[in-house]
Amino acid sequence: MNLLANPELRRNYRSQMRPGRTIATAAIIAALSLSYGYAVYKEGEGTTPEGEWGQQLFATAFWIQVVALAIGGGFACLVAISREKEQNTFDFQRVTRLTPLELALGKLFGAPALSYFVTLCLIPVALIGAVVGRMNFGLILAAYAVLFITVAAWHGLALLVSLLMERNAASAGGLFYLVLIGMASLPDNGPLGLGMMSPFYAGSMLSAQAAEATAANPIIYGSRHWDSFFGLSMPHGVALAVLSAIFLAWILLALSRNIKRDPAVYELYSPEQSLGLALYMNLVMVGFFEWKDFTGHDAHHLMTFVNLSLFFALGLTVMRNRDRLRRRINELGDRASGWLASFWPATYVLGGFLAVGLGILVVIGIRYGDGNWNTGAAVVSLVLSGFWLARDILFVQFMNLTRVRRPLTMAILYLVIYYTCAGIVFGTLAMFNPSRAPFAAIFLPSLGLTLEPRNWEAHSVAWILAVAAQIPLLFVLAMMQKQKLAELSERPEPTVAAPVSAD
Amino acid sequence: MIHIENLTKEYDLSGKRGQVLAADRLTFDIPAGEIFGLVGPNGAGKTTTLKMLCGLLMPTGGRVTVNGIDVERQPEAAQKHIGYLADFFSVYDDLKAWEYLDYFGHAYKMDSAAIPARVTEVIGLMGLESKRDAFIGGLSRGMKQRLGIARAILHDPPVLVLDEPASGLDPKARHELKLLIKNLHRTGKTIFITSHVLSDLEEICTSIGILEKGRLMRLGSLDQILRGDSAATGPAPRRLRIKLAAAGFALGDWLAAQPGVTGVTLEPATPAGGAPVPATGAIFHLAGSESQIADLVRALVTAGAPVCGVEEITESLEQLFFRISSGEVM
Repeated sequence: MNLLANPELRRNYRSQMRPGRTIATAAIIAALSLSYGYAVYKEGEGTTPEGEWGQQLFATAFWIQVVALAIGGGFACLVAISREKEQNTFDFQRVTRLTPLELALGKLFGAPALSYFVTLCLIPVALIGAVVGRMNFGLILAAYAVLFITVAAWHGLALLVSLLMERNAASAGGLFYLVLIGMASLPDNGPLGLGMMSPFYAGSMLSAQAAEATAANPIIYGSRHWDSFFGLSMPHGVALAVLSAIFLAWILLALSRNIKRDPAVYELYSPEQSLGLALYMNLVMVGFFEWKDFTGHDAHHLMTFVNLSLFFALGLTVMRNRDRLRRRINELGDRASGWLASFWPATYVLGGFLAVGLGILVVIGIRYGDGNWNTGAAVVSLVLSGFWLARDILFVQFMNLTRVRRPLTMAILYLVIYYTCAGIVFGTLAMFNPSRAPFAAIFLPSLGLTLEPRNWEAHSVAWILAVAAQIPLLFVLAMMQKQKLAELSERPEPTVAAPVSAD
Repeated sequence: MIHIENLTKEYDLSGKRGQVLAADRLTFDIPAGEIFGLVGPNGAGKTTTLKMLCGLLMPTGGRVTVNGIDVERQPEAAQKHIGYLADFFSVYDDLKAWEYLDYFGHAYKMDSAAIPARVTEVIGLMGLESKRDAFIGGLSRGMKQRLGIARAILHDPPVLVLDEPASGLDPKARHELKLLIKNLHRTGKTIFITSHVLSDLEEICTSIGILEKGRLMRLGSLDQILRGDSAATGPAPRRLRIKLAAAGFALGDWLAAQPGVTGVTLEPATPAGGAPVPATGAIFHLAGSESQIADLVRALVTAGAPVCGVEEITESLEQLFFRISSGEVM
């Protein structure tokens, strides 16, 4: 597959890179580069060490490149599909013989054409700055590699958001992406350390190099610039580039599965692929986990929480809507509306969550087995969390089969309202103290997530009851879904017309 | 060429207004070389059917094959055989006309070396030579529609699916479009077309389907449909009018005695309460083929009737369509 011959890529470059626009962009950047370069040179003349103005020039050019690609290019990807849907041109692309992957790659690298061109125009000034500043070219190349790989992954995410957002929700999806990238761009790597996982990290790599350059030790960063994967140390830039490339591969899989499909039957991943993604994410999490900073139970609680979030998200990706179910019922008959079908996707997420959770439990048990580690508490915490996950995902699935507008949004909203109200009421009634917590956990199973060994040992029976109480709740939710399935199984009256054959 | 089998699509209406069957177990074949017109009021399910045919919508049930290829299972292979034009003018305004076609030529995986010549050919075919290097944003509606058709036929598909191609066009552009479709038909294309302009369809289609609330109410050649033929009861009796040059022949009695003749009404009609007017013509139904009509007329002349005219009375497609839409006939 020759990417440069990709028709969608060429269309994007053709329409965005008209000679007039290209020349104007290049001229503006050249003028700004010259004037800024001159200003930096004059300002540093005689006052700063020789060549430092070059480093400043490079840093500014590189920063603009990061912003142009991450924000400008991201925004272009964000509207790449949603705008085509609005303009009704997307259907024409869907009926061409372009494979889904070709279409996705064409948009991924074609939509941000102008951002790539701006980046290209800034290369000369960045190079001049790097030469004058006597910077480490190996590191500069590494920073550019990290930049381009992370940018491609983030662009892929933006493109996926663009594909999935309904016409009138595209702006909300855009806002979500811009908030994420905005948070990543904040100083000190922003909240949740998002900057460490974004294109902005490429800038940090070079800042560190600049700070260390005078000590003639350019590739030694602070400790946060090193990662350990199952004991193997590596620069964060390398880990980030590899993880971004794999993340991009997962996104491309989702894009190519869905980009030419009927939007009514979008399904990000197949159940098998979703499970593969969950296993991969856990491998990354366990591999990079800094065990020395946590006790056994803290590590378990954290990993269980991450897995809960992960499997909830995966549950959403394999959720069935009314359209999909009609097709299933049409193909499979009663099998598609029986009891087993009524538990979907709880059976899938619960099975996966427990399997992965038990694996983690074994790893932690081996690592902390001789310390303050209680397997019973960990197992109850895991199972209760699993039932919590199954319960909520079943509710969301039920809501997804109702005829309300934006059923998934409404389902999440109802859950938030439920847990907020229950939290306030139980807090007021002092239900969160250790002796009452198991009873509160019947309604708020999230309490199991932080179950401590002492609490478990003191109230084991009550906690087991809290776990058992989830089972009838699951059946109630499954029954609600079964009713919806029965409703969808009802067929209209047969056609009365008796047409003649055209021939 | 196109085989549609039990094709069904159920939709939910927004809010809690229930669900709708946009296509209700549609089953029919369109042989190669036909111009098949699908007519129906807004919301009848025409566009939904077309989109399922092109693989843009997944049916709730049933299947569509084009040239023997299952559209749902092998969409890209099937799409090679289909040229699709939607019912809206959607083109890339920031491309030039030739660039637009060049893009789709590559997207349809045509031979790269052959694309420039083919682009020039279809531009000529559509009469767009003067607009070849113009940006699409500056083209008129009619020109954009021609460009859309150029895109649909660019890869020379054997099947063309045209959804309301005449909507929004002025009478001249509509006439040109009609000629164009006829020309495409002459080149052997199978054309599946929907339109609200029933007179246009009547003129160009070789077969017609009438869709109402997702149900196929009529299907067949235009003649079959207008006569009301049905698979269950066979050919419908023909409605004929016979005119005599002068009164004096007992036309009513003679016709009533003939086998296969029913529902005789004499012309001019006798006014209510007035004196009988001598009949100079009659309208009646005859169950039979065209040769039986000829036999009847020959016998009438032999019997001494001064026959000066015989005609078959048929409804226009528009009249039939309105009767079906209003529920007058099923």
